[in-house]
Amino acid sequence: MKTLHIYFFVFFVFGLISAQSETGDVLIKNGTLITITDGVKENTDLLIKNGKIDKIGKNISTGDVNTVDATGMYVMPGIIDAHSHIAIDAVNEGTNPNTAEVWVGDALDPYDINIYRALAGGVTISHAMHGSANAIGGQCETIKHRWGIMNPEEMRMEGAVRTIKFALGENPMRVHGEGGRIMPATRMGVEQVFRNAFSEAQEYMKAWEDYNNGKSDMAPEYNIRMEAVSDILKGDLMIHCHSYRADEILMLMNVLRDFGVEKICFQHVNEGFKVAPELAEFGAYASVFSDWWAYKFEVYYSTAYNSAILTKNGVITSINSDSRELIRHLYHEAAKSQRYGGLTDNEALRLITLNPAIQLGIDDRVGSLEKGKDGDVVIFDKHPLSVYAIPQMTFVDGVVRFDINSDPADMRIEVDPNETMPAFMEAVDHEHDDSCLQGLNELLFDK
Amino acid sequence: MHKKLFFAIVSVFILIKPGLAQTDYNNVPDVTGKIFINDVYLKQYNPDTFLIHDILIDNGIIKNIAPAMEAPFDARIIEGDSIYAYSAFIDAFSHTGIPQPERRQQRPDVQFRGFPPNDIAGITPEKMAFKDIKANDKSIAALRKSGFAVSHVVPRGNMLPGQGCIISLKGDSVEDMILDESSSCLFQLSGARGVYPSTVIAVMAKWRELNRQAELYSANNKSYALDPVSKERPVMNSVLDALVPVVENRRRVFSHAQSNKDVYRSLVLQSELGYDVVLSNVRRVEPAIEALSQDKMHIILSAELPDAVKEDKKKEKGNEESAKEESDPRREALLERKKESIKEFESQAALLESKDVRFAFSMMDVKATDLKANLERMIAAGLSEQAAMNALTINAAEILGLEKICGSLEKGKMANLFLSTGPYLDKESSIKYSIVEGHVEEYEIRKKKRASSNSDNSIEGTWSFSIDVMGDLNTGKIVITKEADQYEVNIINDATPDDPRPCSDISFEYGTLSLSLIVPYEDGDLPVQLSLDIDQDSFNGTATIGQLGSFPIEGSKISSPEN
Repeated sequence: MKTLHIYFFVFFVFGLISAQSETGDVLIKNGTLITITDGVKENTDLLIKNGKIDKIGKNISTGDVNTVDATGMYVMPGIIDAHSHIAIDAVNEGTNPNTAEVWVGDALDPYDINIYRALAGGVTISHAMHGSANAIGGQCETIKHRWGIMNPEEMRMEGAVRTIKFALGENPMRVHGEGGRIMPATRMGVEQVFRNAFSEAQEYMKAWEDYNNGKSDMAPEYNIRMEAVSDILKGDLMIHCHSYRADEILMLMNVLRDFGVEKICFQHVNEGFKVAPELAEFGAYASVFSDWWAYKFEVYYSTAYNSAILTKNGVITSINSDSRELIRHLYHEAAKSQRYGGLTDNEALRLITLNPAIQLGIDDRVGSLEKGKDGDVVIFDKHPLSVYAIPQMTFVDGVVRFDINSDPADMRIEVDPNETMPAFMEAVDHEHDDSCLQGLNELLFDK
Repeated sequence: MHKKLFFAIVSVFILIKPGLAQTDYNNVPDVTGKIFINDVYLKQYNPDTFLIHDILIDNGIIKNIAPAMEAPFDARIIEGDSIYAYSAFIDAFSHTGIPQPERRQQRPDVQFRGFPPNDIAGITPEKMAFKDIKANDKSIAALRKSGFAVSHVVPRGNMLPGQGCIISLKGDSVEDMILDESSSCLFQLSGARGVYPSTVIAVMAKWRELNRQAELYSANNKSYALDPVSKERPVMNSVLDALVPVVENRRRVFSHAQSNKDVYRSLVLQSELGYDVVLSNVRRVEPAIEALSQDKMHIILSAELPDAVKEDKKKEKGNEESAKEESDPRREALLERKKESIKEFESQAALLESKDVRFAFSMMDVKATDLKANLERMIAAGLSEQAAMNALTINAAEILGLEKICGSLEKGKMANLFLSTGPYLDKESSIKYSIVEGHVEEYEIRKKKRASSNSDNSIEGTWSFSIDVMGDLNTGKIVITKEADQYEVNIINDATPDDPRPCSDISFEYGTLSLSLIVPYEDGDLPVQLSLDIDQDSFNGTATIGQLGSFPIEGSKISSPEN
């Protein structure tokens, strides 16, 4: 009877599309725990209860909790990718230089096999981003890789900070200047798109304030785009900006200072090493590639030392994938910061765990192995920074979402009855993808 | 002189023409408005028992249903002996009567793709579907022939194409047919081509914006109407005008939600904006079923099903290479998953029934003639026959708010019914009469293939054929003769009229003619297998050409044997 009451209560609270996701209990025994925030603990147990880390210590014994023997293995927090485009049906609404109102959270795709592949690389959370076609792109969504669910609502990471994609440089210039014959055709134009949007949003907020205070009788026109830009000015919507060149990075920080916007995470930031002290002074974050560049003109001046230089300058830095292929081995990408820049093990692993968590505003929940944090954990057979390491099991909220030993060969959730070729046979090769420009072929090339 | 004569002739024609139109011989009214159907099997209140009753129809209304009535002297009498009467079906969602638009030019011509005009953006909620309907569109007659009498017709287009209407599937003009000219607001998650909103994310954002704008528009108009002094005049906006009844819940939103993801996205908008949403043309309800049954949603399920997986015929041919492919366990596993997936589609209706969710069927993506076969597959997957019939009649009527006038065989309702040669869901039965608002249409019942195919000389003669092989149209003749119970077939391609190709392995069973032959192709020869379903004087079938694949072939009889 009691359970029945709880059941009804849950439905009342969450309503029709309840986004309640499954949680699990598991005891991982005798592994080497890489906690990120509290050193490395050998021969230690980790207990997850109701999806949260409940205990870390030696010889934990519980009743009949599902137990995994991790003797000789490495246990670390689930990897977090601060820049990806998997699991969404739409990446770019490339029809306008400012589409602040669109939100990829409306296009989540729980059936995307790349979620499972990311889990096989130990990635439990990704930041599903709008593309970089527009100077002000759409709003992004932080998702948990709860593979197997079919309700898109259950993919959201509840409580994550709202984020929005900005883009500098060639992409918006090419799509709108070259493709649409409108501003921005130059880097100057990109700056002006931001300044115009922020100024218009200030006026918009003023008009509504007047109406709400009874100074005007008729309601101003509701504009959902201006609502979103206003949220940036109010600090409710954090910018994640696609950027490469140092001069543009400085430009955007100046624009933000002018309009009182305090938080930003620069994405890609290939020339971040040139302005690392300025980024640190502003309090900006940086999310970079380990060693991916030269795929267009503005991305030539790059170095694999970028993440190390930024880290040493006190910039909170992460390494991201922006690719459904790279997302499968972010631990290799992190290891490259040791080869180039000599970061310590912990500094290197922070680049794919706690630091991206900070950048997404979820570091109170994930990013390290600590009591009370979410049970998002990955077990490796070797040290994760070893080139021989292979993820064995990945847990999200204590639920096994990847198990190298017992998952069946075909893990697709849904099969197209008319398919001629299984979807997973599509080539996956990040060098030939520009995932930030997904969905733009029609706009750019079909004339 | 000549000139004068010419003008005289022309003016005579001008005078005569309107005169000719005074009697429209194409539109002769029925002799009587009364129809008496005598002794017909029907089910009324008890779904398990057939009764033998008479039905009296008067001027499009069911006047009475009772046993052993007396036929009025002026009624047209239809002898119901051994035929079955059913309440005609209601198609809950389709584009019936609206012709397919011609292919649009590649890219809409707009100055700025971020701010396209509303019609190019696909935002025209003020548009009325009935204005696009052509009364003589063949889709109307096709639905009628399959037992339908009423359609909920929604406009074609993208995000907000306009308002749906309810039509009766019979009439000389669209005005004649309309039962409700504005019954719904259609919403689709599809973006416009190359202009804003072009993706689902922009469509969702635009919907939220329009919703809020319509609320404020309505509030501003009310405020101005109350007291216009010193107030800015609200500017008329036809899009928002059409959405005000939606946001005030006076016009229901039918959300075109084929996939599971579309279903969830529609539910997000329903709960965010507080609309009464009818999920329409849904193909998968299963993942969301608990939520749907919890909230007593109305569902319009697509009557379309994916084609069943064809068992590979290569097996029988004994081709070694394909036999090897067949035995590949990975391939088998993939095929198995496809089959499971098809089964899931077939079981969606049964699932709705078991969860007590009220549903109707949409005929948007399905050929009317496929309906019965699809129902059979759904019934095999667990749907009860009664639930299938209810979905097509009373449930559809209730979902569309038409239950007072149609959806069942009842005194006082519209005379929408069909008469079938046996219980409708029997494989062998077919529809003999359709009656829409008292207008009777009688159909010729074709003899079953099984019966006709055994009559020996039915296929002999010369037939034409046409087949499109990868863009290359081939036409020609098939000459069929028969001697001593053996068929002989020669095929002559029009491209090579002097090279008739003899066929082998000829068999003709149950209306299907199978044969094989060798045709020249590039430098060599290709084996071809033909399988032709012959229906009196025409055929449809497939030609399997070497490794090129299978192609549809069709043709008709040109002449019978010359003797």
